[in-house]
Amino acid sequence: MATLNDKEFLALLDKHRDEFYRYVLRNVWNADTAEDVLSNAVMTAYEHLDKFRKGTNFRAWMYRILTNKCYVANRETKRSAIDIESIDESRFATDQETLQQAYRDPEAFLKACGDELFEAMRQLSTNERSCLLLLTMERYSYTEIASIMEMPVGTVMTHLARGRDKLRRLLVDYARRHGITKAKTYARKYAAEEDSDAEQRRIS
Amino acid sequence: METKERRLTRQAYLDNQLPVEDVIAFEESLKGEERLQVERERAFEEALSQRLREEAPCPVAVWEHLQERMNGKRGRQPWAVPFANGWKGLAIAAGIALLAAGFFVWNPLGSVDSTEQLKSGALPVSVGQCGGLAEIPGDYVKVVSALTANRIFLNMKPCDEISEGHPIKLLGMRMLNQGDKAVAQVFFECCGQPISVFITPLSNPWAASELPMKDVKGDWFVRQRELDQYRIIGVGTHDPSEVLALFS
Repeated sequence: MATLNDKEFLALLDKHRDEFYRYVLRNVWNADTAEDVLSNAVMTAYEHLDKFRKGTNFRAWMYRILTNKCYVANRETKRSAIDIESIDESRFATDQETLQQAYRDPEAFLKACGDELFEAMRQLSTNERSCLLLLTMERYSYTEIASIMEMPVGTVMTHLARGRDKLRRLLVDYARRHGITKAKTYARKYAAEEDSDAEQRRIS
Repeated sequence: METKERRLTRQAYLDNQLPVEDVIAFEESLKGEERLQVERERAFEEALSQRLREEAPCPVAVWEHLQERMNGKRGRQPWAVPFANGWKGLAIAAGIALLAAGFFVWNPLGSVDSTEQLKSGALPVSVGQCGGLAEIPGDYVKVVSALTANRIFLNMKPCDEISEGHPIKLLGMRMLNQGDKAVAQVFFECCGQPISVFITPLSNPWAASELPMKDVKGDWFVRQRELDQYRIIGVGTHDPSEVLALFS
């Protein structure tokens, strides 16, 4: 079984280091912890280099190790211990009107939410967050995520659905409380879109 | 009320994870407002993805720290691996040791043609010359750091650990360029005689035979061995075996 030598390992690591770091940073949400997690994951990979078969997916192998390390780090710091399901559901009662406004201009909405997006991400479980990051950030397929996370595809889909649902509820709740979708920029965009829709209906 | 199955199918559709036939079936099932809603959700997910993908480069210090940690591990590996593999590993290690011992038997290359003059300053003929050639002073920590910085991941013991009977002193080091490959030259003094140790990756075809020894007057000793991924060549007017033993 051909394995990577040190030089090849370093070269691959160098090539992907930014995406690995970003994945860890988005998963643990603290630069110091991210550095420790990345460092530990790389050393674990290096110590078990003989278990990696040359020619197979290096990124996927590394993501599996990184995810395990993130899971441990989050468990240790109790960062992901918040069980949203156990919190008063009414707090997250999705305000459909706010959600629909967010859908109208998602970029502006997410920009207006600022770091609240990252705060909301922190409140997901590590499994939900990892699945979401691997899909949206790293563009992995469900099957690949299932392989990395070592869980069935159906479970990946469930984690994704739950994670997204929580994320939307948290963001919408934040937006409603801070009047984000009532802001003038939104109002102007809205008005323009409504006018356009009305005009289209009139023409047709 | 949307069923869980329908919800997961819609999610898979938005994530482009549905097989083509299922995509067609799902799109056909979409009705006016629901179709619009799906498109809005897709736009939202795309914006979310863009936000999460925002640049967050790995800090240079983190990368350097990682490499340092790996170098530390690497230095211990040649000794750790054979024993970790049990008897099979020990047998292999013994074989390697026998082969390595072969290299230490007197090498006739040690007395190359002594009728010509040294063409370059690669081989200092006196201890005093070493000091002038060294770019890194003879400080143990500085030399070890310089080797690591030049991606030479070998352990080097301090001289006083095995200098019994043959007083060894570290005089410094410099880097030489041989084509696109770097060669480290570490200067020692052993029993008052200058010794140079050349270290180069095995991938570098440069070898002892390429040293400008044919131009050197007098008797020279050459010892060559392979260690991990490196070829180390000791050259001096004193047998460099004791100096080479510093490296592992």
